[in-house]
Amino acid sequence: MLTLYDLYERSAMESIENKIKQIRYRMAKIAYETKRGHLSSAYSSLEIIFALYYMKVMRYKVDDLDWNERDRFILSKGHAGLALYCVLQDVGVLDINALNNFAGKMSDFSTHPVSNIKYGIEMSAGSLGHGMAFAIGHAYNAILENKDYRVYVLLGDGELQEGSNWEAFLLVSALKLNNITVIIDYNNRQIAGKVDNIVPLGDLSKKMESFGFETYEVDGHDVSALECILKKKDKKPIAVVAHTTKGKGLSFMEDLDNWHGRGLTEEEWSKAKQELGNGE
Amino acid sequence: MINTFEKAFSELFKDNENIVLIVPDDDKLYSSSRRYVNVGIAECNAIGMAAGLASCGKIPFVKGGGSFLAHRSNEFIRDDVSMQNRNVKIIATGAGIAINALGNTQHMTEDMSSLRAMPNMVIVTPATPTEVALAVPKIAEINKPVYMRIGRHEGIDVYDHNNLTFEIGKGQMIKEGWDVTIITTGTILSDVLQVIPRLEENNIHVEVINMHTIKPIDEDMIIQSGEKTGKILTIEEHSVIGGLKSAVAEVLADRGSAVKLYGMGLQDCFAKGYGTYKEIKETNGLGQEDIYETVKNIVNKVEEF
Repeated sequence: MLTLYDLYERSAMESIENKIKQIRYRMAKIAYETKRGHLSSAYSSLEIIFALYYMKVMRYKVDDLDWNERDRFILSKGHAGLALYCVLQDVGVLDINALNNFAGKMSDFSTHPVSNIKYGIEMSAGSLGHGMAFAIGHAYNAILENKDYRVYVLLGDGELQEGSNWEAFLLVSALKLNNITVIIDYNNRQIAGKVDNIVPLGDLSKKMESFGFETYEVDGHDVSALECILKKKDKKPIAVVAHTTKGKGLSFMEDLDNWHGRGLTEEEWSKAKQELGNGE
Repeated sequence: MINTFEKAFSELFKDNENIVLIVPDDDKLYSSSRRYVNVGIAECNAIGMAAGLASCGKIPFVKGGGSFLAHRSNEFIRDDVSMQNRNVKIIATGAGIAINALGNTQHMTEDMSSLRAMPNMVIVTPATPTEVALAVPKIAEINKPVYMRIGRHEGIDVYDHNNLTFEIGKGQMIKEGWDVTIITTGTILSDVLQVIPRLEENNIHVEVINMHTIKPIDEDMIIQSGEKTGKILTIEEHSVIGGLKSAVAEVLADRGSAVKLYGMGLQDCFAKGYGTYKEIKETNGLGQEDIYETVKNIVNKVEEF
């Protein structure tokens, strides 16, 4: 029998699912109108970013984005920028009109985010393999200043083919940076196809464990599960292998080739509107 | 010069809580402080971490072999430091061919070329130990990325520092003359100054400028001296492509100057040979005899029009 609490939880989750659907709709609309953005990659990361900002995982102040004690979110897989922007709109960091001219002539918002703390964006991304070392700087600053903020880094699975990540993983352990949570968006896709068919990652969790991380695996589209894991703290740095689907949310995009970095056609937009409930 | 750097830096490090020293396994100094971090043999880590710290308001110094910092971590410098104008100081040791016996991989002979094009970047190559000591607090003061190249050898104070001020971005008139302007960067200045008595004996009176800051470069001094002597010879322990000679050429071209420009340095090649510092300079056309002969030829040359 369902208790009142269960019903409350269910209704809260339904409302979150609906909110995420609305964000997906807004993202699709932008990708259709501007023909820009890496929609499929951004869909893959959406719940992860949403959980960080929306589910009170991260501590931040909308009216003081440069707050020294804030938790940091470093989007290393910059091609998920559209997801970050749309979540930032949802939590009130970005104005609802901020993306009207997304990646347009004089827009402040590029497809790959550009570091600008007044918009809550910590790092310029776009070249993969940069976020980890940058995150180490932020995490080490917390140690120097005796602050208890946490640094969250989102990496792509294909991104792990960049050796700089592994250098940085070694250093995270060496410096005992237990204030870092690394999230790997493991959709098993990169531009040319399946990560497994290009340079496979093998047993990624074991690899992360051997690099000194307390490691969790999670369904990267399950907001409650993400919330629960991302709120964890440990004596060790944390790695979260988030199993995701590239293009999540649109039947004609999910886990399919040729979707990296392109907008939607008229016909695709029509279908997307239907599948995303017209943004309502 | 590294010893001088360490001494000057120690003072700064002691006085300023915001300064952090990051080394890719470079030395064992300051190991008791949390503001000293050895990130291991990983230059990209060093630069990326420094960028993160700088964005938190720290003033990170990254000190290590310049050939690795400038080239291995080049894209980290570009994307995470230069692009955001972040306050990271890169102390690149082994300027030019100062790491004489270890081969080309250790040489800093294209570093200025690749970093000079990076927006916001300040590039300094002190010529003497005292200049290193003077430069350290000054580069810490400016809220910009700085790449400072320092020699591996101790170097000598070849000019009287009491008579000249050291300002980032300002050249120094070491000696006035009228036959040709010699512009140097780094410790090769000492070789030039040692050749001067012989040149004077031959009635050749050179003007010598120490261009310790390659970027921003002292345009006015180049133009004023060049217009006076009509000829400029740049001397650098670096490729003649993209470094001092190129920087001077850009100034002359931008100002529409017809001053004749000559450049000594590596002529689109890596340095040849090993041996002592003196020997490797001689093997690569940067010995004192080479400087003497080149200056004499330039001054005695009848220009063809």
